[in-house]
Amino acid sequence: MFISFFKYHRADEEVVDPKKYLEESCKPKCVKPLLEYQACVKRIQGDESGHKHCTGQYFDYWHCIDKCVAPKLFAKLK
Amino acid sequence: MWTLVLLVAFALLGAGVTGLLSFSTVASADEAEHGLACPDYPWPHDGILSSYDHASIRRGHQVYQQVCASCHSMSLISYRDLVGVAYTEEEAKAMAAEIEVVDGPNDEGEMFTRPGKLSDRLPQPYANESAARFANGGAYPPDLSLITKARHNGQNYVFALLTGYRDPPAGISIREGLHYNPYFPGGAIAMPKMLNDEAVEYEDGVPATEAQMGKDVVSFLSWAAEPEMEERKLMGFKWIFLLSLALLQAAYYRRLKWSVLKSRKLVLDVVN
Repeated sequence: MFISFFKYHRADEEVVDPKKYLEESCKPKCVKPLLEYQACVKRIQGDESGHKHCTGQYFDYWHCIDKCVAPKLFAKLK
Repeated sequence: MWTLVLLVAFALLGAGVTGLLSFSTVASADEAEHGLACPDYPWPHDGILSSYDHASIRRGHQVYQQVCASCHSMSLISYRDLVGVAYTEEEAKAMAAEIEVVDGPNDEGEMFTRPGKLSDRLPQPYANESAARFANGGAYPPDLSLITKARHNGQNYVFALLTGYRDPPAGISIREGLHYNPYFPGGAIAMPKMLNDEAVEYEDGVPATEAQMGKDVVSFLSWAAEPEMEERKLMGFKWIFLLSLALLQAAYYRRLKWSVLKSRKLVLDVVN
């Protein structure tokens, strides 16, 4: 934990936002909703009416990511 | 008569089915309407005897001042409220002196401007709500003094909102002038993403990532909405402890006094 904190900020390096980092690392845990979302995107691709959208699947995916990230995030912050 | 009953039954069934069908589309509209539910973050001041992280409040005030104050007022907070919480008296006085305040009328009946004092409120970016709406495309940036109490699950909501700007889902387009944020009810918020990495340079050298600034500014806003929290928790703990002792004493005393009646013997005499 201590070492990884230093990874986030050295004088010559860009800071890495811990939340973005954790969201990426939580992706494997949320593969199922991600695949559902991608399936939905494919399904509505040809839609002309403008009424079709993937909000439900999007919310399911991000809810999963949020639940994974939230307990870990503050440990990475001061 | 039976055909009439049948007709009514079919009509009701039809209405029921349509109701069910329309309900399914309403449900998905409801999701965006309520906004994505925010997760619960483990705030350091959440515990039953936990205080605020005052270093975080100080950084959060810096974020507010540099990022948010250009649009959001905090008109219930005075400079003197910051003393002992985030700044020393000298620091707070110096901060207050940087702003110009309209005061008066003087002896000649004129209003005049003077440098700020500790007793002055934090400055307002706009003269009134109409000016605020005009400058922000009709949207009013709310006053932030009580925002974490004024929104359901306020602290978590504000943090999720500030750090939750993302591309919209497929099929959703946001009109020009608004931005997509899944946590905002409806999904289209007038405020653009304000927290960007290193937007602020913290005095204490902490790396100012988006998440760090979000955490600090929410700590500051939590304090602003509930400055009495630390005293309240101490009082609560003290009085719950004392009242539990009092409860034990009262229970013992009651049972002691009632023991006379509870241990008496009743004899029912048989009438011959």
